[in-house]
Order: sequence, then structure tokens, then C-alpha cells
Amino acid sequence: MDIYEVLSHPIRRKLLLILEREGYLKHSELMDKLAIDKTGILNFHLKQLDELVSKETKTKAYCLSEMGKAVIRIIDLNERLLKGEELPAEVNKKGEISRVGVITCNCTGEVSDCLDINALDAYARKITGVVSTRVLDNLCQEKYLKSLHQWCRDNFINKLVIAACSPKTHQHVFEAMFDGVVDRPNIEIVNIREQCAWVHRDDSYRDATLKKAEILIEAGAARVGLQRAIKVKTVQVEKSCAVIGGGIAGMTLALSLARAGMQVHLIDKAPTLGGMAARWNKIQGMADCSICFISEMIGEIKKQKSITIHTNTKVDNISGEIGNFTLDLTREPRFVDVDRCTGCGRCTHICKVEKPDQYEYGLAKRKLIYIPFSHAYPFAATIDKEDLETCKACRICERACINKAIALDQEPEKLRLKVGAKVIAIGAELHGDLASFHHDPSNDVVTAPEFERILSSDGPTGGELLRLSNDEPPKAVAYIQGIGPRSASGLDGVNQSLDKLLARKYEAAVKEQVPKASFKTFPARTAKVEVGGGEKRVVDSSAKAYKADLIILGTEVVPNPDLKDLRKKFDFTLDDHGFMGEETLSSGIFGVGAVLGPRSYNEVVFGANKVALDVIALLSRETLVSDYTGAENNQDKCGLCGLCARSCPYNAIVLTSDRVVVDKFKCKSCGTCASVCPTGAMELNVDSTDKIRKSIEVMAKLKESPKILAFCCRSCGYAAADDAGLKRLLYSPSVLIIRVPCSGRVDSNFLVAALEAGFDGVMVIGCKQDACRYIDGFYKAKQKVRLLQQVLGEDGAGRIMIESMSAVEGNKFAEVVTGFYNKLKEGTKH
Amino acid sequence: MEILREILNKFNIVHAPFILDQVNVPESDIALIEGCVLDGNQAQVEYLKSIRERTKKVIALGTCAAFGGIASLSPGKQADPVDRFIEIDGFVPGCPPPPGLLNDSAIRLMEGKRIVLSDRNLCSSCELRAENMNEFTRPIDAITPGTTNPVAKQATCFLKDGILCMGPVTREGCEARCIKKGVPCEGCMGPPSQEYTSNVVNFFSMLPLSAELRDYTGMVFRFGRPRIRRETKQ
Repeated sequence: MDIYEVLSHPIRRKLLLILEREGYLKHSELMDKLAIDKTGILNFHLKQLDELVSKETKTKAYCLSEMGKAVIRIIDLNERLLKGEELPAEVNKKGEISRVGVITCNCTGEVSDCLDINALDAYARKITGVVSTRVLDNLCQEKYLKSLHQWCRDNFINKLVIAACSPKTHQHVFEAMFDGVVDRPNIEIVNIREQCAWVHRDDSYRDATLKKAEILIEAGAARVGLQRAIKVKTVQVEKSCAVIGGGIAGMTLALSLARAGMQVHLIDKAPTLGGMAARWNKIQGMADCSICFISEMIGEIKKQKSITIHTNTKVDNISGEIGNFTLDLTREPRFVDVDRCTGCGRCTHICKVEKPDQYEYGLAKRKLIYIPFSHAYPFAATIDKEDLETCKACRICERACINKAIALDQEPEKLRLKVGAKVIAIGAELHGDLASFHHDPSNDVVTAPEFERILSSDGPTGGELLRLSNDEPPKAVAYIQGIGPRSASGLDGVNQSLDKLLARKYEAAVKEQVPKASFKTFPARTAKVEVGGGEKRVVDSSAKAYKADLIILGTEVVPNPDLKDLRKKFDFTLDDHGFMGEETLSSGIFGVGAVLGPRSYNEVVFGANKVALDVIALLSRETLVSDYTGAENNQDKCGLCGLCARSCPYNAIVLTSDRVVVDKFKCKSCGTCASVCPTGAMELNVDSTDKIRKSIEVMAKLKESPKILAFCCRSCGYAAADDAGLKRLLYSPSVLIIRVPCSGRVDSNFLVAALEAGFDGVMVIGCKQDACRYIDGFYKAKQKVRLLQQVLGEDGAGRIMIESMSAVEGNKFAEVVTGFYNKLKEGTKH
Repeated sequence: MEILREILNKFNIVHAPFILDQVNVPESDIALIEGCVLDGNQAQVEYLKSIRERTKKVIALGTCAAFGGIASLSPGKQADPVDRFIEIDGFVPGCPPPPGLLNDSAIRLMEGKRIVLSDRNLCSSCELRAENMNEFTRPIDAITPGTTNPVAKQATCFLKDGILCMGPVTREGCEARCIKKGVPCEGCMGPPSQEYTSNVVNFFSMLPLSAELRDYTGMVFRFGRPRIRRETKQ
């Protein structure tokens, strides 16, 4: 029974309080006192209260049980809660009740050597909000684990301050120790070893060190008291994976997963598996021809019982979360019953109407009812939806089919799948401004995919390299590389490595079939195609003309247009070029193949295997615990000024016309956005502004002069301060440190608030400028500090400083801090 | 005017130092305080404290009382808002306070309710707010539009146009009265949260301010100044 959950309802709190006051009350009396008019409501709450209330069998009166009395006694701190006072709606009720426990770890005497640990404990016991304290010799040894858990339960502790070594040392250990007892964000680690006991080991500092440790614990307790509950959800992992896209990438991945024993749903909107590569002649770097290789692969897939293939199928909707998604699919009709069709081809033979074959890129014609290509899977005839009316008027194939497989009345079919992970493998598109290069297959100016078909044995020329205009082999071939879309595509450089690979592949193909033919490559940027007078010329940058009788137009790889549509359903990010971004990986949505950008075959296979490992790692867990720590936007306060989006180093914040959206998968919780938000709408859910400001307020109670407050970034500044401790360097105990995720998190208001609160000096210590953990957080902090120094003039400029150091520069830390301390001391004397 | 009549019907004015010289502060329900405390003037602080003691609700009226106000600009002097010395029950910012907000606040006060201010910044009600607000690149090199006609309508966001506008760091509630007249926001409504100067510093640290504007003191202390001077020990 979760006591906080039970007490979250005001009626239940009131009920307990009334019973405590009145002793015994009958059901009807309770209803009167609580002003409830329906018996069901009271019964529900009595049931929720369960062990806290007992019922006298004779008089049928309710009273508090022993446990109920204990709860009332223990929770007397939360008087206002029991009075039935309403809690502010935005505060999670579970987080509102704050019962802080303090554990002080002596580290086998390391701490008590420098300060009176019993005095410290006595101080901690008196801090507001603290309900119980413990002093231990060695928390990290885990030998008190059971008794500590019991201690937490007995005292209803839901928040914990651990005064011990640096969080850099044992944070993960401590957090793991209290898993299931205290939520991780509710554990605050106060550094009384590296940044207190070890750096003030001087007899003259003894009292001041104790005072500092007391203040640190008090600030920690105040901070953790403000921590709101972070929604944690446990999800049962669905042991299957959806792979969207049945091309070479999707199939490779599906096979890897199936071989590892995973259930796979392979989904493709086309009527066959195979994707683009099935129409290629050869795969670069492999001797095998493409269709042979793909048909082998399809054969392997058919063998795997754990792969379910859904062709002609589209994704309509997606819901759920990582580990447990629900996919709604529509299987479009193919107008042929796949189970009955034997692929005999009678229907295609008898069909009278022809249209350009999309699988030959329009170079050849096919019948309205057709089998996509010779190794298609499923190997069954199909009719395009757009041709249905024509076919319904004719129905000749229906009569010809001896298996009665033609089903022109087939309807779309809805499907629903439960999967734990989703992989998008819908590939990319080749797209370029072909018109300005005089694209015309009948005049031998062909695109790269069309050229692939000319080379393929099942293509329009039967695999012979012939010009489509006169069926003769070419003498001079020009290949134009990297023709982009007409609009500025911003794809500069993305396609480069692939372009080189293709040039080699095409040159080899030409030389193999027509050894005498010349082959020349031109970059599209400077090349021009001229057609006229019965010949074709490619003019290069030096205005030299190259006469060619076959011109291949190499188009650029651009994102699949379906990706944008999918993005609305799937929650993933796009990169600057519009391909799928790789940050998505933590969300249970993965990408393989060209959906991530131009990829060669080898890169696709490597990528697919890597993703397979990720998916297997995800799906082999029974449950997943999902919680999000990072930036959140409060729409009620947000004025849409966009400063947060401007400050985010990861472009994780998107500003639309009516809201600000944080991309959870891109956010690295550095807090730069929160530091510049003028309204406080942008906030980190762990390192929140109110927690930091509360720390400043509490720490200002330290009665030393001069006193210094240092904001240290988690990765460098704070680590440097720890390093000073590890090296047992000495500095004054009137230096207090607040840990921030990044120096960019430091709002100039923190600095001003610290000075206003009575600190003589404030410091910001961050990473080395070119090595900031969060790209440019330190630079942004520097901008603020410089500006503040400039405007505060002699009142404040000398009292604010910013410094960068690496994690091992403890010496520098001690030096800088001591230098600053001495300077301020000089200042206060005058 | 209507509201003033209503107020006078409902309340008696028992103390108004700008009308009547009166040494002692009488007991009252609501006190409206205007103006700032200069250099921690002891007499003024005592006066404030006596008002607090004898009044149920103390309201700081106007930007001076709320943040320190324009006097913060004076070098070497410290203009402090009322709440640095006594607890207040609410404030109505603005220089002058916008009529709409003043009216609403008066009604709420008469009904015994708290004064409600928007938590958002001016951008949220600004008609010039652009879709991609965060993407301005033009250096900001002016504090007023360079037009000879001050009521010429501004068509795009001032910041995108290279003109400094304090809208993003200023509380909403003034109905964007300056912007509607073609003048960028000066920030008289004060910060939506936190303290005045640091709020502006955060904002400036992110702007491409050009060299001509490099003397910021006029802007960061326009309506407030943090009280950070140290008492020096002998």
C-alpha cells in the first residue's frame, strides 16, 4: 500500500482526521460529517484506506486501526494535508508530501577527522522537513541496506539527502541502493568529503568546516523538498518488432532479428518485397547480380517462421510508447487472392490493356494485371488500384484464371499489431532536376536507375548495353554526377562518397560490355548537356565539349517523401537534410538504410546489424521503466518569444505558431533554455530554477566573510573541485559550491540573487571553451557574465568571475578560489 | 472615471499624503503605494513599516513602487521597490499603469480578491510576433525606428528589423500600447518573473547587438537595479 497514494485524496485525509477526533463513527454519521451523499463514494474511500481503518463488528462503527493511528502520529507534520486542504493542481500530489531523511556517511573517519560528525547530525535533525537522520560509517559498503530500507518505510521517507562523497563517485551506487524505495530524482547527494572535509583539513578551519557542512545539508534538504515527482511508467515489453520497408535494409534487419529469435512484422506498401535494390543490376562491391541476391534473401525470409510479411500495407496510426506500441495498419487490396494465385501468368498473358511499367521506370510496358518482377514475393499477380474501374469493365482475366484467384471486389483490410520496437527502413529517393539536363530515354539521356535497368538481364534490352534509340552499343558514355533537385537542396556533400562509388561501378559496367567505349565523369555543378543537330555534347567547366552518345544522369539521394508523413505518426527527429536523425534511438524507433541518408550496401548491412543489436537489447528485457529528465515547457507561462529555441545548442526546441515543443530525444538537459526564459515557462524537471534559487537562499545563511558561491558545471568545474579534494589541497571553507548541469544553465539572475543575498563573490566555473560538454554553454555563460560585469561597474564587476578548467585541474581550482577569496578579503577591509 | 466613482462610493480615503499633511498613518483596508525608496531613506522605510502594520492589504502601484523605476538610472543612487522593505499583497506595474489593468485590479481589490497579472511576456500578445521568432540575424543597431513619422505602422517584429525591443523580457498586460503606435517596447511593465536587471542581461547576452548600442547601462537599469552594494567594514 502506497501511503502517499492513499492520502492523495482530500476526503480520505479528512476521514482519518475525523476518526481521530471522534473515535467511533457509524457509516451514516461519517457520511454526514464528510458531506457525502452517495454510499458508494464513502465505501470506495473506506476500501482505499484499507488497513488504516477498522470496523467494530458489534456496533458497526468505524475507528482508526493501530496502523491508522501510527500514520496520524507520524504524519502530524503534514497538518495542513490532513485538514483536507486542497493542494495546488500543478503540483503532483505525491511530490507535495515531502518527508526528508538525511543519511550522513562518515567514510570511515575521513569526515569526522575534520568536523564533529555528531554535531552535524544533530543539526540535520533540526532542519525543517527532515523527519529522521542516520549516521553511517560506510554507506557504499551496502551492509546496512535492509535496515535502511526499513528505516525509510518506518518513517515514510520519500526524499533522501545523502551527505557523503561526491556524486561523481557514488551517485549511481546510492541511487541503485534505494531503487523501489526512493525515486531517483528524490535523492540529493551532498558533497561533504571532496568539497568539504578534504579541502579544509586545517585545525583553524574546524568550526567553519562544520558550519559549511551544516549549510550544505540544509541546502540539500531544501532542494530535494522542492523536487516534483517525475512521472515514471513501467511498461511490459512486447517481444516483437515492426520493420517498415521491405527493401534491402529492412530485409537484412528482419533476418538478423529472426535469427535471434525475435518476432518480426515486415511491412511494405508495395505489392512485393525487394525495394529499390531489386531493380538494380549489380550491387557495388559484390560479384552477384542484384536480383539473384535479393531473391536469395527473400528465400531466407520465407524460411523464417518468426517473420510475418505484410505487403500492400500502410501504417495508419501508432500509439503507445517504447516497449509497447500499437500499430494500426491497412492492407490495401491487390485484387488477387494471394493464397489461390499460383503465379501461372495466364491473366497477364490474356490482358489486353498496357501501361508503362513502373518497375522498369517506364522504359517498357506491362499489362494492367501483372507480376511486378520475376522474383517478386509474394509471387502473385496484382492490379493497381487506379486501374480497378477499367478492369471491372473487362473481367477477361477473371474468366481466364483457372484457380479463381482474381478478386476485383477485394476491400481494404484493417490490422492491428502489438510491437515493442519499430524500425523504419523505407529508404530514400533519387531526385534531381532532370529537365535542364535534357532527360529523354529515347534520345539516350537516361537516369541512373534507368541505366541500371538497361544493364539488368531482365531489363528492356535483356542485359545488353545498348542505346535505346537504335539498339547499338554506345561509343562514348558520359556520367553526370550529383544532379540535385531544382530548389537549393542543402544536400551539399551528403552524397559525395556514394557518387564516387557509383562512378566506379558504371565505368566498370561499360568497360565490361563495350571495352572500346570511352567513359567520362562530370560533376553536375559545372557540366551542361547540349542536344541538337543529331548529337549530344557535355560541356564542362573549361567550356570543352565532350561528344557522347549515351548520357547517364546521376541524381542525388534525397529523403523519401513518405518520411515527413510518417513523422507525424512516429515520434522521431529529422536531421538538417531531412533524413531521419539518429538521436531518435532512445525512443524505441530506429532507422536503417538510406532513410538515414545515402548509404552504400556495406554501410546498410553494418547499420542493420547495429540496429538489430539495439532492438534485441531492448526486446530482451521484460519491463522498461520510462522517465524523462530534461527541459519541459509550461504553456500557461510561455509567451512564444523563442529565446529558448535560439539558445538551445541541439535544436531540440521547435517554435510553432501556437506552442513551443521540446524534442525529448534531442534534449540533453543542459538547461541553457531555462536560463534565458524570461517567464520561467522553460524549466528543467530536475535542475529547476526554484531548487537552485532555494540553494542560494539557504547557503547565504553562512556567516563567514568574505563568502563565495561557485556555480560549477557537472562535467568539468565540479569535477575540478572534486579533484582539489582528491589532491587534499586547501582552501577556505567559506567557498560554497552549487552543481549545475552546464555553465550555460547559470542565469544571470542566480549571480545577482547571490550578491543580493549577501555573498561577497560569485563564480561560474565551466569547461574549457572549445571543450564544452554542451557545445557552447560555456560561451553563453561567458556572454552573460561579461555583460553583467560591464553594467554593474565597480559595484559588482570585481565580485563576479568566470573561469574554465578541465576535470583534473584541482590545483587550478584551489588557486583560483583562493586568489578570488584573498582579493575579496582585501576589498572588505577598506 | 466610472471606476473611480465606484471606488469612492465603496471606500473612504483616510490617508493621502499628496493631498493632506498627516503625520500618523490611520488604520485602513487597502494602501496603494507609489514611488520608490531612495538610498534606503530611513524615514521612508519607517513610514512604509507603519503603513504595513496598520493596513490589511498593501499594493505597490506603478513601476517605481514595483521595481524601483526610472530613478534606478541615476548613478550612485539606489532606488528600491517597496517590497525590499515590507511585504506586499500585490502590485500593478506600468509607467503609467495601463488603464485596463488598473480597472481590473481595482475591481478585484474591491471584491477582496488578489491582483492577477499575466505570467507571460509581451510577445504572446504582440501582433508583430513572427512565426520563426528565434531566427533573426540582422544586427540590432537602433533603439527607435528610423522613421520621421512616429506613428508609422511597423510591419515586422522590431528585433527582426534590427531595432531593440524589450517585449520578450517584459510582462504582458499593457495591450502592447507602444508597439501599436509604432514604438518598440521599453519594458515599463517589468520582468514576467525574477529581477529586472538580470532579466535584461540574459536577453542582451543572446542578441546580436551592434557596437553603437554597447553602452547598455541606460537599458539594464531603466526600471530597476539590484541592491548588491556591500557594507564595507572598517
